[in-house]
Amino acid sequence: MEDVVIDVAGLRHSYGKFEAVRGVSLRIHRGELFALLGTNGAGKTTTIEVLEGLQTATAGRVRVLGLDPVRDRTTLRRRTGVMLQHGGFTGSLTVRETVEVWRRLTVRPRPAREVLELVELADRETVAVDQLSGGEGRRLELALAVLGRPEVLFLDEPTTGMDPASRRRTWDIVRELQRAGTTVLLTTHYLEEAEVLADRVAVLRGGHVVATGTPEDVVAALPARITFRLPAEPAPPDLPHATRSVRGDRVSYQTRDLQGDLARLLSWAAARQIRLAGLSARPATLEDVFLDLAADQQPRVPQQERETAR
Amino acid sequence: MSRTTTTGPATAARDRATRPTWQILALLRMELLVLRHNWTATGMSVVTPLLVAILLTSGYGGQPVPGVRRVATVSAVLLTFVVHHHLTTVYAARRQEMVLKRLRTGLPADRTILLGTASGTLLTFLGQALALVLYAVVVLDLPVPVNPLIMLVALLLGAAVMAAYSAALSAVTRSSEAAMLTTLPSMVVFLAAPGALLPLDTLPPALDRILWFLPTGPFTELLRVGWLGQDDQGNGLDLAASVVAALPAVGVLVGWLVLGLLAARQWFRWEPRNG
Repeated sequence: MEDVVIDVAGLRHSYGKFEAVRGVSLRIHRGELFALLGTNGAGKTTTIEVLEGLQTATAGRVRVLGLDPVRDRTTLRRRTGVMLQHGGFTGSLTVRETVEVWRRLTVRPRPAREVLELVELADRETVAVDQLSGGEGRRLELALAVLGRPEVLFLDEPTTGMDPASRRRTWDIVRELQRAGTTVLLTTHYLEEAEVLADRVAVLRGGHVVATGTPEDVVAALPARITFRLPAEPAPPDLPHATRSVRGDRVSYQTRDLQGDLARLLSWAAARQIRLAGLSARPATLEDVFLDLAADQQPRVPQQERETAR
Repeated sequence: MSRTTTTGPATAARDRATRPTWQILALLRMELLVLRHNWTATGMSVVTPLLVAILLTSGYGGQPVPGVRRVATVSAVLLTFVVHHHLTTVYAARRQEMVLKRLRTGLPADRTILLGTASGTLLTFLGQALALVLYAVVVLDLPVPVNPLIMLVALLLGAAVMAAYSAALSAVTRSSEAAMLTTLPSMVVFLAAPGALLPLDTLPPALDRILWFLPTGPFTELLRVGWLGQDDQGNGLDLAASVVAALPAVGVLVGWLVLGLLAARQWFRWEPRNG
């Protein structure tokens, strides 16, 4: 049997007249680490909050572990862990007190010491929560999210506001949890995070999923780039699998056949003894995917390209 | 309800965390920790109201009827300030801190979260009321309450009514400072009843009868009837007659409670706007 842990079909959600999520479908399997990628306002948080049961879907079907997040809230809650985008602490309580209060609200909680060591806050136990740095606060959130050893973990922008060391530590923790069998859904606008962590990603824009697949697939669907400085003359050639654009003194090709087009370009240059200054050739990165897909001025073009590319 | 295969203390702990009473105790613990860490809040919501209450009743030593009437009036003021006003700020603060939203991602049901968040304030009020009655009996030499159960019903129902409107009003309250403004009209309305801020027996009868329906009207009447075992005309009431005399007041408070719960259900917000 296919073990689908999170199943979303045709999800829509509106705040009054504004429709934040416009028909999102996702299937996430047990043990998978899935990233929702998108800019602010793309619908990431709304989607994850519907899955957490904090928002009710306006339309569509949502199942987590086969249960309805709103209707089956009490059954589902003991199996999920949630890290919200913005903290949820009473500032005057200490780290230790906060964890102890939450332990009382958790089924078979981990020992406080254990979770605090996990997120490297053990030496901050007696500090008031409002004295923590942004990154420390996020790590405390993570500690609370994993307190009950959840089967499914929702992380809404888990590393926002973290310094690089904290971010790496958080990645390690998330990977450890995944290795232990936890299914993780996280949202992020850090591409590196999705590339490093995720088994699969979905890129959201304007409430739609505009690309989905492994990070490599999503990248491979986009053209590679060749750039160099515009020579005085002659005009740069047309390449069979590429589109050319000139911005200032930069020539840039987007190509579906990097090796072939690059070879043609180099032989063109060699034949004319032209030196291509600042030459660079590279495959698409998730950054390109993101910028291309997130750009409002070219709606849906990338998806068509992706389909023709296959 | 529990279908786990785990045994021993693990099962006990698991079941415990899913029980509403246990969850309310956990939330009460959180509220008490806030009070312990924040002496301004403690002073504002616990100590000052009690000192003022004692101050306002201390001139009534040895005068059973005026004394009890006075204590009932002061209890109505405590009720609106401590429960209604303070709880509005607590709900607003926990919402702005995203604590309420965070709690909703966990095991407790919505109503458990609301009740648990209110528990510290409710307990404070009941403690203050108890201290005030003890002070009245022991120091002011007022009579021992005849029907303390009726008084307890008044305190619990009154507090529940105030809590419901606090939840509703917290929706338009952005901070503790704003609560001063948002709860002022409701406090005035709630207190404008004979036996609370207005005197008994001196208003025009028609007005008196209408204003009695405001929450502190029945609230103070229940306190007087329960304490003295007689109605406001001085007729002695036995237990059965006291209960019958209390019914209309209880009915009005229940009516206010139902309206308050509907309002809370309609307007309560779990997270800040544009959060």
